[in-house]
Parts: sequence; C-alpha cells; structure tokens
Amino acid sequence: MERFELAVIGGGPAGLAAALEARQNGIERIILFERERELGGILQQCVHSGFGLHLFKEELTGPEYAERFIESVRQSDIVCKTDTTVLEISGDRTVKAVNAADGFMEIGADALILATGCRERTREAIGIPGDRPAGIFTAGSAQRFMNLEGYRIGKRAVILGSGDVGLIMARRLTLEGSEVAAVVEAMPAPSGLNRNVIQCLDDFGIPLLLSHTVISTIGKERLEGVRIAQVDSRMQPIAGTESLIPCDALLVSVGLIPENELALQAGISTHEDSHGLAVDERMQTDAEGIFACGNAVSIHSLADYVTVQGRLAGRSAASFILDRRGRTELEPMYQDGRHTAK
Amino acid sequence: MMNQRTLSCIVCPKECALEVSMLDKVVTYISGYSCERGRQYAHDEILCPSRIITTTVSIEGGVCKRLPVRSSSPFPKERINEWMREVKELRVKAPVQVGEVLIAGILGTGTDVISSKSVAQDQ
Amino acid sequence: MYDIVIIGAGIVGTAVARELSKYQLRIAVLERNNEIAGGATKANSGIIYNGHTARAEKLKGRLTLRGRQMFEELCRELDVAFKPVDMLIAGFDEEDDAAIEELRRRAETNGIAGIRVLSREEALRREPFLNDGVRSALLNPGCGIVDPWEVCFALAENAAANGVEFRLNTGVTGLAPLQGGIEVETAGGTLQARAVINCAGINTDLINRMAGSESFSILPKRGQYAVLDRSARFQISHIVAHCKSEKEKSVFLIPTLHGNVMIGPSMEGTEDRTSKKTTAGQMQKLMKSAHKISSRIPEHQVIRSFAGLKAKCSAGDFLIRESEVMSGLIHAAGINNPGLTCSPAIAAHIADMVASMFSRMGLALERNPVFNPQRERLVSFKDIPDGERNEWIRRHPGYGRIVCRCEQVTEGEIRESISREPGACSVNGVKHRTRAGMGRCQGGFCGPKVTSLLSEELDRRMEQVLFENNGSELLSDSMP
Repeated sequence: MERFELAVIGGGPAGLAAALEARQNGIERIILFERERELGGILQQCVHSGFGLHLFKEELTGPEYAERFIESVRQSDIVCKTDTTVLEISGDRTVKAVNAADGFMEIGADALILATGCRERTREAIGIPGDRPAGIFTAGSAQRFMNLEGYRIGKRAVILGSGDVGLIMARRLTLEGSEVAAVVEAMPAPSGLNRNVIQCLDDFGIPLLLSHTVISTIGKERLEGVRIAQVDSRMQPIAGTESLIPCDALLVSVGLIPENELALQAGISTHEDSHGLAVDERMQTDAEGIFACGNAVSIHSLADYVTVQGRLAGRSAASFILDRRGRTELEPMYQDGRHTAK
Repeated sequence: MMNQRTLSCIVCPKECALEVSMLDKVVTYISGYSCERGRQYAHDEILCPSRIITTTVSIEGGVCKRLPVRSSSPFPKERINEWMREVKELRVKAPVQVGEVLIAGILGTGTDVISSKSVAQDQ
Repeated sequence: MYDIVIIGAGIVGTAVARELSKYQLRIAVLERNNEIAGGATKANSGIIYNGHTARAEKLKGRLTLRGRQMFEELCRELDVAFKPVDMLIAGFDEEDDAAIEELRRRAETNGIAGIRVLSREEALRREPFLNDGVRSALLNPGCGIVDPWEVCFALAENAAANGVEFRLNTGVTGLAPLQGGIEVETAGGTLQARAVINCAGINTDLINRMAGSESFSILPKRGQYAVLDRSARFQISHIVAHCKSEKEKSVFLIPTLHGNVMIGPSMEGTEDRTSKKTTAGQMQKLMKSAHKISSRIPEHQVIRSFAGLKAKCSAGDFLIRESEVMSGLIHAAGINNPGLTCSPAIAAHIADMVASMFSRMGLALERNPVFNPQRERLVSFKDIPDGERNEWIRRHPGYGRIVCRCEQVTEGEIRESISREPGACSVNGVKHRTRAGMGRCQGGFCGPKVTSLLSEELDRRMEQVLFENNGSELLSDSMP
C-alpha cells in the first residue's frame, strides 16, 4: 500500500486550498483525489462573476477563481488523481479509490482532509407531489447541462427557490434564450443576496413570487406546467390561491446539504440537523488526524470563505503530521541513549 | 433640477445602501459607500448602468466542450442582448489561456471579451 | 405468421414469454412503452409472499402458493437477487389480537411452516423500531424480497436469448379474427399470430374490447410509495405490517435489497389510467398508516416517492381464460397483488392453456432443444471484492469510472445495461437496471453523464435522449 503524508479528498476550492496550504507548511507527500476530469469542483460550472472579492479584491468568475489555485497545484509536487472516485475511507486513514487508468487503489496517509462539498436538495426531499415527467432539474444539474455540456434545458422555466443558485440560473436561462416565467419563493423575503436579485431578476424583469410555492407538477412525458399557491406563515398552501404556470422546465433550488457519505461510513460524527461534519476549532473531526473543510462542514455563501477554511484545515493537518513526524524521528535517538526525552 | 436616488450596491455581498444626489443629469454627491468600487458603481449606475457579462461558447479540440467567457469590465446593460449575439458568433479552438482577448473592443465599446478559463488541447 | 403474440412486457408478459420460449414457437412481445417493466411492475412492493392469506377457492390463492414454490428457483436460473425475509404482522389493540389469530389459522390451513404468534417482548426484540404499544405480532417466515423490475428485465433478456422478439413503442390498436389465428394491428404495422396473450395489465379490458367483448373491466387503483435514504437511522429486518381487516389494508415497511426502507402502498381508486402522480393527501395517509407501526420513521429522509397503477379486475380474482368471442385469444387480466409472486405460476398455467389450445388446432408444442434457462446478471462494481477489482477493470476499463456516486455505479455497467437485449433505452431504463440515479441525489450529479452515455450508445444526439417514453426528451436544444 502506497503511503502519503496527507490525502485530500475533493479538488474544489476547499480541497485545493487545503492541499496548497499543507504543502507550504512543509508537507511533502500529498495526494489529492478529484472525481471529475478537471480540478476546481463546482466552480467550473459557476461561469458567473462574483468570486474573489475578499481574497483577491477583484471580481472573478468561478473558473478564473479556480484556476488561480489549480495553477499553483500544477506547479507543485502534489499528486493529483483526477477522474478518480474515492470509494471508502477508514478511521485508520486508509483510502480506497478507483479510476480507469490505475484501477482500484488503496493508499495510507498520516492525515486526511475531507473536502467533499455538498449536494442539492431535490424535489423529493421537499416532497413536491405530482407527476414525474422529464424537465424537472435541480438548479445545479441544469447549470451543468448548460455551462459544461452546452444544452438548453427548456424553453420556458419556473425556478423554485430564490437562493443564489436559483437567481443565477434565472439570468443564465434568460441570456441563453429561455424564458423564465417566475422565481417562486416560499419565504416572505428572497433568500439569496440582494445583489443577485438586482442583477439576475430585476435587470431582466423576471417576476419574483414571494410567499409562494410549487404545489404540484403536471405532465405525462415532459413537464407541461406547475401549480403554485400562496403559503401562510407556516408554509402551508392557502386554499383559493392556486394558479397554473405553463412551463416545460422546473428548476429546484431549495438548499444544499453537506455531502458526507464517506465520513458517515467511517463512523465520523456529523451534526444531525445540518448533516455537516462536526469539527473542532482546528477543523479536526472526531477521528484523530481526519480534518474537514468547506461545504462538507457547513454551507458557505462565498467560495472565498471556503478557501479560508480550507487553508485552516491544511495548516492544522500539517502541524498534526509534523508533530507525528517529529516524534517518530526522535524515537531511534531515545533508543541509543544519547538524548533524553524532552 | 435636484433629485436623489437610493441604490443597493451590488459590488460585493456587503450590499451598502447608497444615496446619489443629482442636479439635472450631473451627479453632485454620493454617500453610503464603503469602498471606492462602491462609489464608482453608484456613479455608473445612474449614468450608464453596466454589468460584468458572462456566458459560454463552444470550443473545438479542447479537454472540455464549453469555454466560459466574460466581459473584461462592466458593459452597458441596455446592450446585453447585442453582446450575447456577437459573442455567440465566436468560434474558439483550443488551446486558449485565461484572460486571452477573444473580441477586442466589442460593439465599439472599450471592453473586451476575454476567456475566463485556460483550456488545453485534448490529447 | 407468429405462433404467439404477447401484448405487454410487464412481469406477466415477460414471464409468459420466457416460459413459452421453452418450446419451438415463434414469439413476439409487443410493448406500447419505450421501456419494458414500465407499468405496474415498476411500482411494486417487491414482496414475494408465502401465501399465508391465500384462499384455495380462488385462482389467485392457488397461483400464489405455486408461485412462491417456483420463485427462488427462477431467481437462481436468472441470476436475480432474492433475499429471504420474514414478515411481521403487528397488532396494537384487542381487535388486532383476534385478527392475528384469524391470520394464523388461515396460514396454518395453507400449510405455512413456522408461523407463530410472538409476545410483545419478542416482537420488540426482533424489531426494536416497533411502537411501544405493540401487543403481539404474527411471525410469518418464508417471504422474500426482490427488485420487481430486475425480475422482469431478467425474464425478458432470457426470453430474448431464447429467440423471443421484443418490439417496443408498439401499442396494439386492433384485433381481428383470421383463419387459424388473429390479426394484430399496431402502431408499427400488422402482425398475424396463431394465439394472442393479453398481458396488457391496466389495459387488458381495452384489448378485450378490441376483440369485441366487454365481459370484464379493470378498476385502476393507484398505489403510492415512499423510499427512505439508505443512511437514515431507521433499519428493519422484517417486512412489517399492521394487521388490519381485508378491507382496510395496512401499508408495509419493506427492507429493500439495497438497504433502503420502502413504505407503501397507499391505495385509492382512480379513473385516470395514465397518471402516476403522487399526491400530498395520499402521502400523508401513507405516513399516518406507517406511524401506527413505528412513530420513529424519519419522514425528512424520504429520498423518493412514486406511484403506480394496479389492475384490479371486476371479477374479483385473477381472470386467466380464453376469450369467449375470439378464438386464439387468452386473457391474463386483473393480475394485482400478489401478481409478482404468482408470475411464474401464471406463466406455467398459460403455457398449459396454450398447449391445449394448440392441440385443438391439431398442433403439438415441441420442446425447444436449445433452450437455455440461464441468464447472467449485470456485474455490479459495488459487488466485486476489492482483490478482484483490478483484474475486472483491466478487462473492462469502463468499470474504473464511477458515474453514480451515491450508488457507486460505473460507466461499464451503464454501457452494458444499454447494450443488452432488450436493453435500456432511456435514463429511467438505465436507472432501473443499474441503480444509477436511485440514491440520495436522485440523479442530480449523474444525470448529465448518463445522458451522454445513452447518446453515445444509442447513437442519438443529446437532445434526443429520453427520460423514459417517447416525448420525454430531457433537453430542448444545443446552445450556440
């Protein structure tokens, strides 16, 4: 089994920052796993601008922001396994992974950093009843189809949820020639940043229906429309307020959930409500030597903050490794009696 | 004629409330900003509202199928559709570098269309 | 001329096709949908019953007992997963005590071995998630769990390997008598067959009407289900139900083959024969019924809900007989629960009917000398032991690329599922054959990749790839 000092799982903003920071703090044998062909994680499909205002004092797009870190990683001796899926981790810090070129591999590491990001809540998770035709997407998968694959996902869309992803997709669809009939939000106020409401909806005259929700989906094969209704303060639809919006696509943008399946299988603790990994102030989980950062810990509103947290995890993992290295290097000296214990 | 407008700054997530005073069409006083970019935004938003525009175009021979592109600086928002039409005519071949100018001075403005990603050739 | 045309490629149609492929017959299966197993088969509990409530005076009862005996052997031949699971039928009040006793008696009459009534303590020990108020429970051993669509795919693949033709997107539009057979009109042209077997599920009465009879009608019932995340902190080791009267049916809590708990079905009559929609009202009813069994069901961990239409027949029993108006036509109608369990027995029963029909025509059924009863399952990367994975990936590099992260499904499996005969033709077809998209993200991550694999394997443009049936294109067009 090949051994590394540090294994980083996930090549998005958290993992990239963590790996680089650990390298700068003296860790030499680092391996980073990324399941996509390219590094950068979800940033690669976030082609809009607004990244880097804090860290670089300029307004970058997702791919530009990612590239600053990817370049540094490329110039370093960090081993990057892209197109590689981690299948399993264990508390003793071994990692099982697979890709087409190397096949199945098992590596050991002195420390692990989990930077596995998040996944989207689906229509099922919020229990929207109705038909299950084609044309219902999570906002992120629609974003991938459009920005990475180059396909329009519908001619007339309704977006459920006014988080930043939903708002950004409203503008994206409009720019690419699809009509956005409405953004529907159950809360009485938009949940995304005001700057996104202005730039993504107001600029294009897209209606924002607050205190409304989608109560059912209609369509045998392809979506034909959604029924919406106003909701009361307990989020319950109010009878008599229902209406039908004809559309061939519904984008569901109703929140993100930390993705921690690997950690859960290894018995690492998460917060029951948020599903985020439980970490201490050094970003260490309740498994010794296993650190975590980014959206796997909690959902961040800005990639810049994810980077900052990734760096902290990288530094903490480095000092953990150096601490151990120091101990093991000293051991033989204890034995020949020339030194006494500190 | 004197008048005043209130804006919500969109430069960063801080979302400062900006107050702009004008005499006829001349900006006379701006308050509420907490950085120079915010002051500039308030000024421009009154006289010529502009945005960073981003989209993707197809790319040939690269390791990915789409190339993300952007305006190098804020572009007048009234002309976004024209910008999109012009940009969609682009035919890009890999390799391309991040920041590479793909259309210089688009539509007679001072802003360029640049690549927002480096794409290597597919081996 | 075909010897046999089978209408419908659900569990009944494919079981009949596979059974008849044991003989030297030219057989075609016509399916109106773009995928097989797309009707009631897909929205099924997956329970293989042992016949504890079967009534010997009913055909359904006799076929359940026989079907259960045949099922495991069938699964072995077709390399389909079968998990033996005991059923626990719990009672919560005095009335339930009587109902449990009644159930026990009937099971005993049906010769079910090992059936017994458990005390409250024993029931709770076996199934700690049961509500505290449980009084007693009937332990009903000898049931099982399968993936119903997997059985159907396996039957179809094995039938196809033994010479049966499958025609998808081929709905039947008319039937006409013919000298020595029947003319079958379809969307894709006319076929002639000596015998036609009506396995059209929810639409068996419409086929009967095409033959000129209204001797029975189908009363569609919509059943809704909910599936919990595999990592939900709620696990059971029995199929659990609340004992209720025949009329007021309880939902089941079902431990699926894949570690999820499935809850369902709720049942309601419906006029609409096409709608598989879920409704907020029925979902609430479903959960209410489930909470009577265990109040600890984590509702917020539902990753999927779905509905299916079940074909209850006006006759009140399975209706398997020759048409009274058109010679050569055999109906297999009203195959509702436990149709899955019965399917091998139904197929054998129909093979007997075909044999006697053919002998009346002066024809004999000859054994197919090259019939191969075996079919091999799709190798799932997840099931390959660590030590053998590299050898497998070396031979099949696609197995080194994980496409569906939630269920760990590889590109190799997905390509194989599409290239089989009959193979997956759509995103949902891939999902049901490989589980890609069945996990907690519900295809959010793997959907785009599955779509491009379908596009490559079926040689279609991305915007022509279907979600399931014709008209369900996923994407509208490519961007400039």
